[in-house]
Amino acid sequence: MTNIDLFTIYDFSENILLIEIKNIAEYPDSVEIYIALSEYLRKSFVWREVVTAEESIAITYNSIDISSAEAKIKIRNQIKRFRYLEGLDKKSILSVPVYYSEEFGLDLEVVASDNSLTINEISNLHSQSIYKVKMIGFTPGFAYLGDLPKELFTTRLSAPRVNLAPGSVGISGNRTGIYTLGGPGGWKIIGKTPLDLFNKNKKNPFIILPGMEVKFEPITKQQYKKFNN
Amino acid sequence: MDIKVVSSGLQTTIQDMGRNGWRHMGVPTSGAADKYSHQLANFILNKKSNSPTLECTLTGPILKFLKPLSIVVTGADMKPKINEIKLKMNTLYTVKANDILSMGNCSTGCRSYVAFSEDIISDSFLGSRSTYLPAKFGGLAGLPLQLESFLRTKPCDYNIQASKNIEIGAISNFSNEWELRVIEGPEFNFVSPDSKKDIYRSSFIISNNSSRMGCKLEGRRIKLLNDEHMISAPVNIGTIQCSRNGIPIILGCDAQTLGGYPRILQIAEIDFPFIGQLRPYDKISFKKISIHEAQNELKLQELIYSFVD
Repeated sequence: MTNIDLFTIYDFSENILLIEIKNIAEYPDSVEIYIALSEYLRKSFVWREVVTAEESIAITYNSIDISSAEAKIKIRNQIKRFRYLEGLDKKSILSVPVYYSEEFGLDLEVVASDNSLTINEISNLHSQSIYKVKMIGFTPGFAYLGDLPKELFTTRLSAPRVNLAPGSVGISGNRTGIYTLGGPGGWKIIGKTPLDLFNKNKKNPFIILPGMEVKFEPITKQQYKKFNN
Repeated sequence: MDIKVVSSGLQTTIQDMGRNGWRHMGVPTSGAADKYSHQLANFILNKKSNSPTLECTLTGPILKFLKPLSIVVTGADMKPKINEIKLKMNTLYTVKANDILSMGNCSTGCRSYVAFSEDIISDSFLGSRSTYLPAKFGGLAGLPLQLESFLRTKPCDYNIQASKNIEIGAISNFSNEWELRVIEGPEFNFVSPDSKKDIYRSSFIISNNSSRMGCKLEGRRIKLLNDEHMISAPVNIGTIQCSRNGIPIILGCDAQTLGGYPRILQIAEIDFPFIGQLRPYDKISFKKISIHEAQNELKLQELIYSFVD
């Protein structure tokens, strides 16, 4: 059980504050502590938005009702009451089937040649690790998963694609992610999942959540085709 | 079938006050790009500020009414007409079945809002009907108005007697030159001393490559002292990020929730409606204000315009 005692709160705008934990290196898992603190602040239902990034939290308040100084005091008190229980909130690992092939993996060949790997090696490397959801952003429900094995590190496309198919699996830098809803994207696409990671009828329609763990499971074309039948 | 889309306009979408409380899941706020004009239209009709309106971009649609309705047009003046009779902006009109509303293009401002006495039937997603084009949700199956399609409307608690017949003409006097009030962003110190001066002394031009996601600014390139890779950090509507090649980008209402470029400036919320009215080739300049002044401006606005949320 840990307290957060070294942090700064500063103004980003007239109604947004940023929180940064100062001695973050002393915590076993910096991403996890930001996610847990964000969740705690969000559940107080005092704030308009609580956005979690890897190294800060942005809090939107109603500046008509309270001043920046009052909002800072409120957050300070909330952080004082917050207790980080490491590893208590372990969720099960979400397994995501991926069909790695040039059919949907638009950049599979480029990654193979840039990183001197075969397509088989790419799918083996990509599916061997368990990834953590580092943060959610960019587009609705897009999870930044990390870290990729070093052999798969790659750069973004020089010009992003305008409309990716939903379920496209991309890699960039030391991160991988699934374009759950499709749309624009600049990561290199190595495969596609038939799993629908978006449930329109749920209160929170997104299935991948902050702090969750994800692993990929290679599937064949037949399995891919059968999946949604 | 209550309204026929004779012509769709350049990009006409259903918008409201946006999806609030979902930015942590990467869902942009969206809603009307100019929430002031959107709310004004609903206010004149005495409707709730979150009632959906049609947001028209640069060139508006042509709509044929199949049943009587009351309408209001606000925002950029696209020279709206009902059967060849010119309409005044920000004014309530009643149309009959077979009347045709035709909108042209605007020379100042970028977006016009059309509100109706009945609610347009549309998809709600995460508590909002606003159309988010990149992921195709909200509004009309996540798409802009389509040529030859039909809109359906349903009665709401609208009461014509309570509608406000007011003249707020001066409010939507847009121009092609804007002064936007800014707060210095968390990475303002990444900017070189010379570029810091340029930001406040020179002006920038809105690039042709602009949308609800954001506007690129042409003009002086900004020199960044710190070129190191930044870990993605929270951004907001009105955040001005500076890309590595020195081009500033104003984030719009559909922009992403996290960004990996230095956040050099933040436009004050009081001026957010203007972001939605910036059109390609408009000239903009920046004026620095303090957090305190920005908060006071918001409070003042709420006192003067009771309809602004």
